[in-house]
Amino acid sequence: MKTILNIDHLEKRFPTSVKGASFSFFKPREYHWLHAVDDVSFDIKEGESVGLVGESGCGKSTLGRVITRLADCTEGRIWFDGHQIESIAPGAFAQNKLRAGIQMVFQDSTTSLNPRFTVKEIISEPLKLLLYIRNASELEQRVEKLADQVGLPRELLSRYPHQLSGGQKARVNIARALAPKPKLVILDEPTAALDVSVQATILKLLDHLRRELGVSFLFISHDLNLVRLLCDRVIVMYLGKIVESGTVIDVFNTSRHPYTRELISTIPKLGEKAAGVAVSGEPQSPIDPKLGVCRFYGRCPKGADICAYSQPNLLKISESHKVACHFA
Amino acid sequence: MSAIPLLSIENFSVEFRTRHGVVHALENVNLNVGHQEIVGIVGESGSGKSVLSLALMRILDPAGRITSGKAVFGGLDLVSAKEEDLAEIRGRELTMIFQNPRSALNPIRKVGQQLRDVLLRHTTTIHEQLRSRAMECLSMVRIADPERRMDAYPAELSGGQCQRVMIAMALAAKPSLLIADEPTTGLDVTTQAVVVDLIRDLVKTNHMSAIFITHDLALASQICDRIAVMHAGHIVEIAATEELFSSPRHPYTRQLINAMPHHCSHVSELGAIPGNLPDLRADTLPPCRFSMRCSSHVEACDLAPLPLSFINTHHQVACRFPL
Repeated sequence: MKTILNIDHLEKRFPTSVKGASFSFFKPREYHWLHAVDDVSFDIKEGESVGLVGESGCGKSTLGRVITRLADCTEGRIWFDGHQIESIAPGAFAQNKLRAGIQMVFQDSTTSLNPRFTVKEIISEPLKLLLYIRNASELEQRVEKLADQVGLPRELLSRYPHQLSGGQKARVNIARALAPKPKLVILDEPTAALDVSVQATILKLLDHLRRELGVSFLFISHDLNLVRLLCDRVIVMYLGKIVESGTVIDVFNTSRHPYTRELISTIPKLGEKAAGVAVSGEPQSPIDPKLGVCRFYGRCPKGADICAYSQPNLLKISESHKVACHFA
Repeated sequence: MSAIPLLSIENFSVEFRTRHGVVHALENVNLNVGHQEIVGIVGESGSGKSVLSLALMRILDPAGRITSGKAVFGGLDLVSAKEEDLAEIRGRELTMIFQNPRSALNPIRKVGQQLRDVLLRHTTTIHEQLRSRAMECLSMVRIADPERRMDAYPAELSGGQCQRVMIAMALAAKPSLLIADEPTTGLDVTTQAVVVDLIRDLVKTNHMSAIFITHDLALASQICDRIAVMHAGHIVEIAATEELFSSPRHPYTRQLINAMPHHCSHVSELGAIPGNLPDLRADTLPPCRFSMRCSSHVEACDLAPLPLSFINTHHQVACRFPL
């Protein structure tokens, strides 16, 4: 299978406050840096569905935004479909022909839809701007076909977002992302605001669309259960770093990183009383993290002295399975 | 469960008057909460879970009205009680944890001050002890370094810590009933596990009762002794937690369980619930509000009123043809 997206040592840091109390015109300002994404490498193959899981604040949404070129990366390379795209400025990328290839479904299906556009206008916007379809009847046809694909009744096309239910809004978001025939869709918690019953239909729809259209998915979520059902491979992030990656079976059945194990054990099980929680405390601060300290140190049940002076690298333990832990 | 329940809700109905007609948000809800019992209320959004909790606290929106029923809490009927009496109970005997801790806390008062307000209003703590009592409350909810956190504003705390502060405020006066309205939505899975663990521990060690409202069946199953399933303003099934999952009798409960991703190994196994909640503004709703979505619906379902009836001592279901 062809690799559609390749990410190589990607870093995204945000400057926060200025270091030191006094300002000087002669010295360059030094900042405290928030390391949102820190030395992340992975790739996605054609038609593959990859899950990205982690707590909020671990950098998974930032990574999604950097890949979609909505934000610049600080260092590293992004290869998409044979083109190096990280050097194209976010503004210029909007005009690039590759723009149509990477699309995103945003987290909040309500605020990501323009309240003054009808559903039809929302879905036809990317068709006009990215595929240059200006013919009204062709636009109409395309929009109706997309609505059918995502199971949106055609009579809703003339409605405004506030007149739709949560599930319908999620469908509009998916239709808009699929409109320019992308090769990679980044889904940022598409079902976070939905009920279980609606979530089930949306998940089925997403799985069906992926198989039918052959697009690749990067599915960002904090719900491991959804990732398990929808994805071929899983990447677990903690404080900007990948701690474990592998196939769904690798990660769910034979996880080797204590953080992944903890995540899996905290999934509530149906009809079972919860086991005790092993991970306590808050994560370390992502601002100026100490070099050479494992990011999970302090919260890790296995933490030993070595974790405090040597940061574990992401190492292969089998063909598909990688773990970053001294005790893996 | 002792013979007299702590809270007994009988034929409880709530209506909302809106510009587009009267919304029958709750109809003839019957539910008992025993001493030292955690009762879960689960259902889709819009099923009336939060309306029930707000109506019990009598803090409904002015458009909402309790049209019938009783809710007897420790001998006092919350529906007919005077506002002065309610003010004495709220925050002291009957407390609530809200959905979004960030918006429920006052953003411009320090966490410690807000806790002291609660202690001052609802307990007999003397002024000199307020700070140390507030700190005890914070350490009770396992906030690290309570001394420092006392002087933090809510914006300086993480979501999980804010929710802990809310829990500390709700439990400061040692209430007998705690209503937790989706206390973990918006929190991470790891934080969610910790918060749920904390609520269960504190409720059990303080010999309190709790109503735990959530849309996540799996989460409810971890903490609750009994679970009531709501659909469109009706309680359709009440059962002990284990029994509800091992033998659900209402078709809606069965479908809800099947829609959970937990037991599936592939997406195709996920069961989706067809249709939507009925429009609660309609003048004549069928006696079973699930009938439009139910696969085993027959004509008899639309005729006589449908009460919640006992199948065995721990299991009630509102269905003419239970599974």
